[in-house]
Parts: sequence; C-alpha cells; structure tokens
Amino acid sequence: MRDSILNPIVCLSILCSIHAGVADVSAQDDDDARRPIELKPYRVEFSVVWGCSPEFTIEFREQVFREIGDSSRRILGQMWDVKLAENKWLLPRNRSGLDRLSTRQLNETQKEGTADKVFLVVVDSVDGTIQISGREWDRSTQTVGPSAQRRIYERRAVGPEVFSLARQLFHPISEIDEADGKDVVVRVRAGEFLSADPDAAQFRQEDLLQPYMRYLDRELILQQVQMMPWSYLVVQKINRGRIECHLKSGMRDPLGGKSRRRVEVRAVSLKRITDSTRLKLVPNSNVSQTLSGYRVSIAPKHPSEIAQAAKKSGDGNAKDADEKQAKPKDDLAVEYIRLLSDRSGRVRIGVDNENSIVWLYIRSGKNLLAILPFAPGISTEDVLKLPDDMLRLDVEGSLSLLEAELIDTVARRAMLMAVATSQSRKEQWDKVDDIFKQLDELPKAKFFETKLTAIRFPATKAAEERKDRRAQGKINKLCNQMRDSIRQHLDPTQPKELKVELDELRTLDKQDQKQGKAESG
Amino acid sequence: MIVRVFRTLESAGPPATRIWPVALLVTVLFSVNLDAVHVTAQDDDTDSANEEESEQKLPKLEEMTLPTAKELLQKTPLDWIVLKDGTVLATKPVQPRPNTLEVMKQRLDESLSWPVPKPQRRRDEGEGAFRDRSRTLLEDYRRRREALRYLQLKLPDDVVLSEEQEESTFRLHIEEHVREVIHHEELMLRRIDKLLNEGNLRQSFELLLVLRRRAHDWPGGEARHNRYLFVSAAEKQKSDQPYDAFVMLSQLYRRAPKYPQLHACIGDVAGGLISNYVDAKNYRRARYYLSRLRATAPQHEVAIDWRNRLTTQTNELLDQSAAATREGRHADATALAAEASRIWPLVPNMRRVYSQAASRFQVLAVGIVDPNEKRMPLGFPTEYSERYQRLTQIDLFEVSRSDDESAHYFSRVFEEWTPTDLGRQAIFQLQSNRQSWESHPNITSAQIAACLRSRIDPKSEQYDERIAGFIDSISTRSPFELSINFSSVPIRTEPLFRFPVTVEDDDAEAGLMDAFELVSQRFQLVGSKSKSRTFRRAVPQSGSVVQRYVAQVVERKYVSHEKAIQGLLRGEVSMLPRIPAWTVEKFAEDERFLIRDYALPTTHVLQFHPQSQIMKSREMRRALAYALNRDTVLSETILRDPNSKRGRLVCAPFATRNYAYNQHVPTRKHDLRLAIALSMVARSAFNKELPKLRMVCEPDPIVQAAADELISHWKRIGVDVTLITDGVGDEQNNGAPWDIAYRTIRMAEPVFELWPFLTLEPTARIAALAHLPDWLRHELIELEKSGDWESVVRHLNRLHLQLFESVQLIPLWEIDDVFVVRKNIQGVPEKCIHPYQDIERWIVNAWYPTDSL
Repeated sequence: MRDSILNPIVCLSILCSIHAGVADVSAQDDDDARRPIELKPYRVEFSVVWGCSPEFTIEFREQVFREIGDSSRRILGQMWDVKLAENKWLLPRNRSGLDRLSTRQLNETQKEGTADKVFLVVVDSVDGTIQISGREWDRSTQTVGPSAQRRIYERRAVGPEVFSLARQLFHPISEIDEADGKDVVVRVRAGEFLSADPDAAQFRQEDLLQPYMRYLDRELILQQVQMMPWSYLVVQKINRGRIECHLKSGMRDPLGGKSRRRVEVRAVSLKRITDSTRLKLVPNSNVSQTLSGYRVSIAPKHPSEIAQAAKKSGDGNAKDADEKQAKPKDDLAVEYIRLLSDRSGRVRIGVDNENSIVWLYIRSGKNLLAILPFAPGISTEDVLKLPDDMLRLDVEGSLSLLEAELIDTVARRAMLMAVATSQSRKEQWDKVDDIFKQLDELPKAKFFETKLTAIRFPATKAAEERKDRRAQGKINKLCNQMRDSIRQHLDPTQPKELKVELDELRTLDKQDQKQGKAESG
Repeated sequence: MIVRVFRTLESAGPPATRIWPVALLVTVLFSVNLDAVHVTAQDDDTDSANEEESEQKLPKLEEMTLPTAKELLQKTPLDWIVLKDGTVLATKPVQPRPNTLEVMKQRLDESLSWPVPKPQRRRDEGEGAFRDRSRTLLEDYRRRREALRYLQLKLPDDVVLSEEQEESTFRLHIEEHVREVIHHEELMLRRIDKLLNEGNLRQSFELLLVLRRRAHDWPGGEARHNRYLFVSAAEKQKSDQPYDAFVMLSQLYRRAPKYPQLHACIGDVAGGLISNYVDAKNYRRARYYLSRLRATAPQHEVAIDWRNRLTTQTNELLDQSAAATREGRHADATALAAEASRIWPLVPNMRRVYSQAASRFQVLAVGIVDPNEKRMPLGFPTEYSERYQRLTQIDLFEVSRSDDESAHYFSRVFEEWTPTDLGRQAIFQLQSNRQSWESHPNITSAQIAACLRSRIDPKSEQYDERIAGFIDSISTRSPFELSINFSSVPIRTEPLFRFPVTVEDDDAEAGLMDAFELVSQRFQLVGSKSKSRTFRRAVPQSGSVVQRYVAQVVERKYVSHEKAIQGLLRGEVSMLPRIPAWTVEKFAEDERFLIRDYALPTTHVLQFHPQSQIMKSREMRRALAYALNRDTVLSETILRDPNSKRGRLVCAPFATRNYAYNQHVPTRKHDLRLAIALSMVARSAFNKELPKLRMVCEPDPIVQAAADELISHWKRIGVDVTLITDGVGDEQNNGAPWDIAYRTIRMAEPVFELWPFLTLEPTARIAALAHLPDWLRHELIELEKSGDWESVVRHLNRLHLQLFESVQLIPLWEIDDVFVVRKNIQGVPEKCIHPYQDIERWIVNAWYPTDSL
C-alpha cells in the first residue's frame, strides 16, 4: 500500500524546496537536514588529478569537466549535485598515490567539506593510452572504496569515461526504515529522483546492501561508524525511494532493539569488484595471529533451508532441525565446497553466479565455530574473527586416542568372552580359566576414567585460567560423553555374569562325570 | 620236446630227491613281456599221450622279445639260457657272471688237475669202515667235478612248483644243452642300445644308471656310457643347448679322448659357444668356455684359434685407447681400455694402458637392484628416485651427518650464512671460487633469488607454500651476496632450503622443455639404456688438474640382490648402494671390499592413501596393524637372522635415535584375535564385504618378499590384499590408485620432512592435510610454527604418539643398512646420508678383473 502512493510529506517537501529556490546557504543546510532522505540528492565532488602529459591542456580539462557535468545532468538528473574540481593535494600524482590513500587520510581531508561522495580520479597518459583510475570516498560510512581503472585510446572519451567510472564506483546509501525480523524496508537517498536512463537506477533486484550504524554525539556530530558484520540485505522489491529487503545475517537479530535518536541505522550498497574474496581467519583473542588449517565449508543455503530440504526429501532424522543446523549433512540436497585455511589463515571464496550470498560453516574438529552468510567478490580480502578452540580441540584429539584404546579393549573383551563360551561347550575348563585370567588382566573402566581425568583436569584448568567458560563447558561435555561411553562398554557385570554362568555349567559337568563314573563302577 | 628238456633238468639235491614229481605242472612265465608259457613235466612212468597233450614248446631265441626298460627296471631280473636247439629258458640270474660258460669251462679244465683223494687208514678204523670212507671221498670228488659240467638254475618265482620242489635248485648240463647264456645285464645293454638308437635318452640314462650301480664293471657298460654321452651331446646341440652339449663332450673327453669324432665335435660346440658370446660382447663367458676347452683339450686348434683372435682384438683396442688418450678423448680411451680388459685381460701391456686411461677419466660402476621391467610411478619418492636426485642435483643445503640425534648441514653453494635481526633476516655469502673437484656450475645470487621468488609466487609451478609462509622478501646485494627477510623465523634455516637452484626456462613457453631448468646440477644423465644409466659431471674437471676424481657414474640394473652381488664379485660393478642384511658379515670379512654404514637407518613403513575410502575406517587400520607379526617378518624375511642384529621394530616413521622419537610409545604387539574382531567391526561398515585392497611397494626383491609376507598375515583375518608390481593405471576406490604403500625412508629432519611424508607430496601444503583429523592437522601446523627447539621436540613426540595411536600409518622396522664398495675406491665417507655423498671427491683407482670365472 505504501509502495504505490507517493508520500504526501515528500510531495510537500518538494514543493517547499522549489519555492525556496533562492534561500541563503545556511537556510539551505537546515532545509537539507529536514528534508527526507529520498529527496536529498547526493552532493558529489569530482576531484581530478591530471597527469603530467602535455596533451592535458587547460582547454581539454575544462572540456572534460563540462562533459562530466553534462553527462550527470543528462543521465542522473537531480540525483547527483555535481561539483568538479582539480585535485591539488594528492601525492604522488598518479595511480600509486591513489592506491596508497588511506581512509583516515581522506576522512581528514574531507572533514571540512560538504560533499557526500568524493570521486578521486587520476587521468594519466601511460604507454600512449589514457589511463583513468578512481576511488570513491563516502561521508556517511567514512570509508574509501577500492580503486578501479580504465584505459582508453581517444582523448575525446575521457569525460564520459570518467563519469562512467564514477558510476561504477558509486555505492548508494539508504536508511533503514522498518525491520521486522528478516523483512527490512529501507529508504534510498535521492530515491525519488529517478534517473533519466533506466540503466542508471541506484538499485536492482537481488542487489546487496550492508547495514551499518552511525553513532552521533549530542550535537549530532558523527563519532563513530560501525559496519554490521556478516549481515546483508538482499533487495526484493523496489518502489522509487522505498525498497523491501530480506535480511541474511550470522547474528540473531542485528537490526532489532529500540531505535535511538543518536544512532542512525543505514545501509550501503555492495558491488562485486572481483571474482573471489580472500577470507582471513583470526582468533578473537589475538588478531595478529592466524587460524591455519581450519575447515571452511561453503553452502548456497542457510541451515534452516537445508533442514527444510531434508524434511521434504523425507529424511526422518530431520525432525531435530535445530540440531541439524549445526550439522550440515552430505546426504542433503546441498553441495558443499570444502576448503582449508592456508598458512596465513586465508581461504579464497569464489563468486557463485547463482547465489550472491553463500553460507560459510567454519569448523574445528567436531565443533562448529561459526555459520555465516558471506558475499564473495565484494572486497578482495575480509577478516573473520573466531573463538579460540585449541584447548577443546586438544581434548578432542586426546579423547580420540583414548577412544581407540577403549575400542581395542572392548573388542578384546568381547572376543575373549566368546572364546570362553565356546571352550566351555567343549568342556575345556582349563582353557576357560586361562581366558578368565586374561579377562581379569584387561584394563577396567576405572583405568580409562583415570586417563579421562588426566585429560579433563588440565584442560578445564587452562580454560578456567583463560576465563573461557564456553571452552570449559564444551570440554566437560566431551569428557562426560566419553565417561558414559566407558561405563556403558566396560560394564563389569557382563564378564561376571558369564563367569557365574560358566561356573554353574562346570559344576553340572563335574556332577555328570561323577555320576558317569559311579554308574560305570 | 619241452618234456625232454625238463628230463635233462636234474635236481641238484641229494639222490633221494632227484625223482621228478608225478604230474608236476610247471608254469613258466618266460617272457618279460608277460607272455606265459606253461610247461608240464611228467614222471617217466606217465602216459606218453598225456605228455603230448600237456607239452608246450619253449620259445626260440628269435621269438624272444627284448624286455622293455620298464620291465628291466621293475621286474625280477632274468637271464636267458639259450639251449642247443635254439630255444630259450628264462631263469633267475645264474652264477658265475659275467662270461658264465667261459668261467665254467675254465673251472672244469682246472678240475683236471685236482688230486684224487687217497685216504690213509686210521689205526682204530676197520677195513670195512675204511673202504666206505674211501668210497665216499671218491664219490664226493667225482660229484664235485661232475657239478662243474652243470649250470645251476633257479626258476623264476612265477613258475608254479610243488611244495617239495620250491626250495630245489635245478641244473643243466652245459656241454649237452647250453649254447649261450644271455645275462640280464646284457639284455639291459641291448635295450640301452635300442633306446639310444631311438633317441630316448632319458630311459637309456635310467637303465645305464641302474646297470652301473648293479654291476659297475660289466663288460660293455663303459662303452654304452660313452655312447650315451656322445648321443646326448648331439641331442643337446640339436635342441640349442650348446652348454649342456659342451659339458657332456668334456666329460666324454676325459673318459675316452679318442672316441670317434669327439675331437671335431667338441671343437664345433665350444667354438660355437665362444663365437656366440663374443658376438654378444659377453667376453667373460667366452673366456670361460675357452678356458674349459683348453683345460679339456689343451692343444685343440679351436682353443688356440680363439685365443689368438681375442688377444689380437684386445691389442687393437688397447692401441685405439692409447691413441684416444693422445688425442685427448679420455672418455673414449677409458671405454676402449675397459672393453679391452673385458675381452682378454691378460695381455702384457693391459695394465699400463688401462691405468693410464682409467686414472685420467675415472668411471664408477654401481649395481642397483630393480626387479621390475618398467618403472611404475607410485606417487611418492622411492629409494630409486632419491638416489637419482642426490646424484643429479645439489641442494642449497644438504645433510652432512646425523651421528647424534639431529641432522647437521653443509652447503656447496653458500660460503657462510649469518642470521641477523633475531633471526628475521639471514645474509648468505655465496662461494665465489670453485674447487677443482666440484662438479656444479657457478651459481649467482640472482639465480638463487629468482629460484626463491618462483617458490614464493603462488602462480608459479614451483610454488612452495611452506617457504612462502616463511619468506617475506629477498634482495640480492651483489652477485655473491643475498639477504632474505623472514616473515616468521623458522626453527632452522638450513632444512628450509633443501632444494636445488632452478631457473625459469625461456624455451618452456614453446612447450619443448620443462618450465624450470636445473642450475645446481651435480652429475647429469648422458645415456640411458634398459639395463644401465650413465651420468657425467655437469662441469668436467679442468684438463690441467693433477688429482682426478670420479668423472662418470654408470648404474647397472640387476634383477635381484644375488645377481648384483655376483656382478660386484666379478668386477662388473665396484659399488652396491644396499646389500641384504644377511650378506653384510660375509662382505665385512672379504678384504677386497669396504663396508660403509648409512648415517641413518632405513625405516620401513606402511602408509595409507589419503583418498582410499576403506582406509578411512579406524577399525580397519587397527585390524591391519594388529594382524601383523612384524617380529617374524623382520627376522625371517628381511634380516634372515633370528637375533635381528641389524634391525629392530619401530613405532614411528623416523629413526629410533632421532630427537622426534618418543621413547615412551610402546610397540604394538601382534594380536590375531583382536585383529579379527576389529576387522569384523570394519566389515560391518562395508556391508560385510570388504573390497580387495591394493598394495604397492618399493621395487626391491626383499621389500616385495616382506610385502608378500604381510599380505599373508592379513589373509588370516580375512582381508584380501593384492600386491601391484606392474602398474597402478586403473584407479579404483574413489580415485585412490592404491590403498596401502610399503615405503622405505630415511628421515633426517622430521620437523620438516614429516608433513610431506604424510601427504605424499613434495611440499608441505595445508590443503593436502585435509584427510587427517583436525587435531592431528593442527598439531602439524603448530609444529611448524614452533619457535624453540623444546616445543619442536614436544610437538614431534606428541605427533609420534598420535600417529601411532590413531594408526595413520603402520611403522614396521628399521634396518641398519650398509653399502659396499671395492677397495679401489677412495674417499668414501665413513658414514653417509645417501650412497653418493661427496662423490665428486671419490677416486677410482684403476682396476680390472683378471679372473675368468
């Protein structure tokens, strides 16, 4: 309902803005602040660095600027309010200088400015061609984007190409209006200013946005920007400045909670810039270290979707869907890509053309460390912090060895008991005694429990010292499972019962023998 | 008529028993060919009509069939008594023999000279008693003389006689009735002749053997034996067995040198043999036959001819060798001299010419054992490939010794290397001068830097994840100085750089060659044949140097260790890189050879393929481990020593004295019951039907024998394993070309070598560890990240325990292997890491075998 009708407040605002066309600058700023986001055009600044080539004459530069302005007006209309300037501060004045620019450096440079978006563009002559490089800086997120390059062979194409590059680098901003679980509605900046060229629309279906929060002080001055990690909004339905999205997140309810006046919840568009992203796994406790050799499985679906698929496929075990979330199974209709993080803790995640978002399962032994959505190709590298699981993993290894020893003992015991039974049938009572002697010599449950304590105690103590209650709990759980297994499989009553049974048989056998002798005597 | 014959037969018993039994029916089986002839004898009083009815004729000699070899060998021996009327009576062997009739006649003639008994009357003897005694003595004298006129006969056992006559002996008047006695032995000789004529050598030999055993000096036996040898030799020659023919003729030559046609015949056979072997360039064998011919017939013209021809050929080669030396073609000179020494080593100027050539261009011949015709790619380094690598390439750092717990390194490339910045940087000074003995080319820092860059570049084929993880940057300070910055400090620098220097080849883009060219070459392969490979120094020694070292290595392939040892003893090779443990003591006692121990024992390990589905079953792996009675295989098959002096059971893939070895890990005992129980558990996971496992092993006869033994142990628990020796082409079991591999390794530095060993890859890639449990994988990663030696040892000890307990592999035993060299080789280190250690500085003193055996 809200989709189809232009908001009356917005219409009124437009009228007001038209009426106040000649107001002074301060009045205009106040007006901007009050204006809804959909009616706020982007104040875009092109900061162009010209290379040292003599072909970039003043006339040529002016012409390029004119062409950029014309292109903007022709294609985007009121969406962009373009300002063109020649850059004076970038050093070195080439592509390297552009690549070296840090977010902090740009934030400092643009502190006094008013532009929402700054496109830093370097136009240089390289090997007889013209190379255009650019990066985007965004005031709302206070971040600088990755650089992009183009190479052209005609001078006259510089203007349109610079504008085209800016459009490629441009990341639209939106404000989160409503969030109801996984359904989120956002309002797009300058969303009501439709572009003249339909291909230049800010969003398309299935586009991705990443939510972030802007923390302001009492004077509403920005203090901090925090990106919401492992959370993505997938565009579902577009209605001018309002867009319905579906939230995919590794967190339970990232957009929930009360809205606060001094916190702005916004979302920035994400664009694919590369074919793969290197994801670096680091421990939470020490980000300078890396997590090498960790298993990362990539699935196109969320665990709940997998559980649903399992239910549909008639898998009876899928009843405990919650448990299944932590255990993606191979037999479900999902194809996993299994990777191992390398020595630098990195895994390379390639773009899936059918799914803009994939789900990552990061495991350490039998423990699932994280299930996260991830959009590969958005950046060249990303960092994922994970809990340190080494203590628990060490215990898992030790328990695995203990389990192997337990299996040997259980198998030996079962074999000896079977042999004792067969020997008793042959009335080979000496051999039966010998076997029971061997059975007595086998390690008992207490032996294994002592070993288990030797594994559990130092591990839990170390976890306690690290104040890692989670690890402590998991270690205890693993050890308790092992203890139960020991008690179940090394139940002392089994050999005892067998001994009693065979003793009875032996007594009967002796009686029979005596009787036989008496009869024959 | 037969009755008449029988009437002539008189009982040799006392006169009271001389009466023929009435109606005696005698059935005589005359012929050995089982034709029975019934002979009926009747008393003189019997009716003549009845006589006619019961009479049957004795066979004529012409009607007699010569007994077959089978009959002669298996039936009771019978002599043929040929009577005057031409009939034949078959009897048990008569005495005396041979020449029965002649001997009897001789005895009869001698009896004429016997003194007639003239008794003296005793005092107490009456007249009548004296007369009786005199008559008795006279009768006895007559009877004894008379007996010489008769032939004592025993009828064959199958002739039916009355009870009274069973024990009787019959006699036949020789002059009246006997024309000839054909003895059983004579029958055998006749049969031998017939068989030889027919070409039935086997049966004739059997008969001859029996005849010679029974009556060694029987007239005609020796001649038949000679004939047998001659005919056999002819047959062997016909059937292309000239050696056998030669042996038989040699034997005949010793027995009867003047046997007709023997001289020519032995010359032909020996000449043919010598000619064949000379054509095949197997001069040793040719010399052998020539010497045998000379030993048999010293003045045989064929022997003299061949000796002259070979001597001439040798002298020609020696002349060519001397000419090649003068022209500076030293390799050719040595080859020609060696060829000459093989043809006829005893020519007068051999030692001078050979020494001159072989000292200038020294050739080391090495015997290697490879029973397989084709080299099967196994997917992991083998002793064969390791040996090849060590001979052909020089690593930046090499293990020089390992006499204590850890390995010690040296470098032929770097003069010195200095760690700075707490180990985060290392400065390497390259050797700027080459020693005269060195065989590798000069290497510059730029080449090493390029090599290192290719190893840290993920796009390069030579990318090494481990090195890339350690190296941050490389800079060349001068052509002979290089500095490397490490992103993390390796626990030891040297083992990280155990690889050769390679540079990218420009021709590689065209796809003509490998992408990388080996720069740090040691020896290079210059020739490869089916049974040998030849390597020469990558950079030959300068012409002006005085002291010469090994210039060429020739690896000769043998199918077994026994053949290789034969080759060493004959002088075909001067070194064996490995000999069976049971022969070590014999070589140690032999003053011609030196025994050298390897610095590290060889560890034998069973490894599972990471992709093998069945080997992912822990129970299956444990069942396989418990089923093995390793002690028995070690002592009986590998060492052939009940005390197992040169080997011991192990529980890790590295040496027991290595720092990595956890002495607290007990070895796994053989437990068949447990193995059966565990295999049943594993079986249940595979629908009670285990797939047949495929095993590969090192191409070595001893290892293959041990592998067969292990397979038989697994068979006892119902696990079928096939040993693949001819190729692993068809991949089964979900992409795994094999399930179990029997490997032999010498791990000097487990901290760096364990990872590639477990993953069957040349480099340590994390992705290759995917098949291991997470905790084991992290232990390996942590090992590499260790910053101090104490934690390295702790991690390795722990890994030892974990690998053993989780049965990721089955360590079997370690063997104190040795290699053996002839004493003319100098400069061989006391203890070697590999068989070609310091080979550039080995000296081969000129030596060639002079024996012909």
